[in-house]
Amino acid sequence: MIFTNIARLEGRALLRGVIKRLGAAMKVHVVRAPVERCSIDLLERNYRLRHTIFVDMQGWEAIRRPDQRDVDDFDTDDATHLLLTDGDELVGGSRFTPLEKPNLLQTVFSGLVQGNLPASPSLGADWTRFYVRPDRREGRRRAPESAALFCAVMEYALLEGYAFITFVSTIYMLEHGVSLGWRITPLGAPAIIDGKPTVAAWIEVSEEALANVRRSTGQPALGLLDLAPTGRTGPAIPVLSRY
Amino acid sequence: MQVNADLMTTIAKLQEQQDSSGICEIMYRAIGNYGFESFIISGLPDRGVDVRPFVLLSGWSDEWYERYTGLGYVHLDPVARRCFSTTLPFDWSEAPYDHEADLPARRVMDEARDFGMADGFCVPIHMEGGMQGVVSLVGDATQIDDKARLELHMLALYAHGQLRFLNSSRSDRSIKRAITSREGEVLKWVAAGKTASEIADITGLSQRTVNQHCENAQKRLGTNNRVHTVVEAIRHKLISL
Repeated sequence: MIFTNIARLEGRALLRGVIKRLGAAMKVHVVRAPVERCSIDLLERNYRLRHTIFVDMQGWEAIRRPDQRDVDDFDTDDATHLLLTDGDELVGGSRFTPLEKPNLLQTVFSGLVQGNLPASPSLGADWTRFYVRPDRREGRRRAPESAALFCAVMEYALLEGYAFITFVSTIYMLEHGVSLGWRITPLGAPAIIDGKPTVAAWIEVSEEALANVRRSTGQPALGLLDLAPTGRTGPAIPVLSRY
Repeated sequence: MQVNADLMTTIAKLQEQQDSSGICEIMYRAIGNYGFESFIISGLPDRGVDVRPFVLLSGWSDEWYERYTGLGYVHLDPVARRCFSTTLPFDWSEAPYDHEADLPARRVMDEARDFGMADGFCVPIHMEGGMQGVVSLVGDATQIDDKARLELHMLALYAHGQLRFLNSSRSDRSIKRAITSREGEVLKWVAAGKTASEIADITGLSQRTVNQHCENAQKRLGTNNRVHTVVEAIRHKLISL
């Protein structure tokens, strides 16, 4: 049973579409407050997997917690989680925080931001905690899990009416995002963080960006946007955040 | 630190380009500002695999390009080799090889020098899924500072990403669709009559991954089954036996 909670969006049926079938058993779940009873367990598993990946594996010590759950100041009722499952297993995820609310970019990583946002903060969201479970990334290919998440991220941003998404990542993600057909603009010069060149940037959200990511990853269009309000184009969201 | 305004303009322009000739022009102008003369942007194939289908954009002279690609120099070149072991850009002169014992490597470096390519700056590109690429600039790398290095790194990432995007969207019907180096490696073993489980043992990949590589190659080449995929890969010189 899947759960969506998209109270902000008018028309729950529309959002329900976001929960879609990707291949045999993969599904993207949109989880936000108030979290439905059936999503509570999935969200909890997300926090634990995030701790494993971001702290134990990537060594982000600043967010280490004794309870082995990665829950930070931005896992609030304002956050929306896109969680990817394959059967019963959680295999990937991403978090969005509206830029009008307290967010990671403008607090912890504000030193990376020198330029202005491309539009009003009300038109943007900060994309954080992108991950695919490491055992799903083996082999020389773009994992279908990543592809599904990238497509879901852009689709979600369009549905929410965002014009852009911000992210903080190693600069290598710029190449990945651009190769998906996304337009990505740095918000400042890169800096070395934890020994890695790191940059803040924004991705333009647009119908074209969605078409491009679908085409370049071979993910089928699901017709979701046919139901969504149209006419909003503009800057789009980046997809590859390490933080 | 503020982002270099010229770099921001160049990045924006690169992402507007719809063909590689536009990217070529922008790259020449951009690297010229840092004192570099020429460049090549390419994927790096596994041992024994022809590099030509992996080349995204070449600014090399025709003569050197033919020589380098035709003679399989990519597999001897210490600069290309070093890309597999570092994520950070490096000067060509920092690419290690045994000057006494590794004669093929020395030949490539000496010949490059004879072609007026004595020094350069190399940006390794690590793609998702472990595929390897490179943006290599020809010119004097000793004169650029750390800030310029980081800017050239960004420039290289954008140029490579945009070329890869253009390549993926244009080549839907193109016969000359490149396969990844790992797919090429797996297909070579298929061509040698190995089963998926044997290939898994040989390459250290899981059987599931081996099968996935075959399916991906099949999808890229638009073929109908494994034999058809191998035949097409050989016919288009994507693998050599």
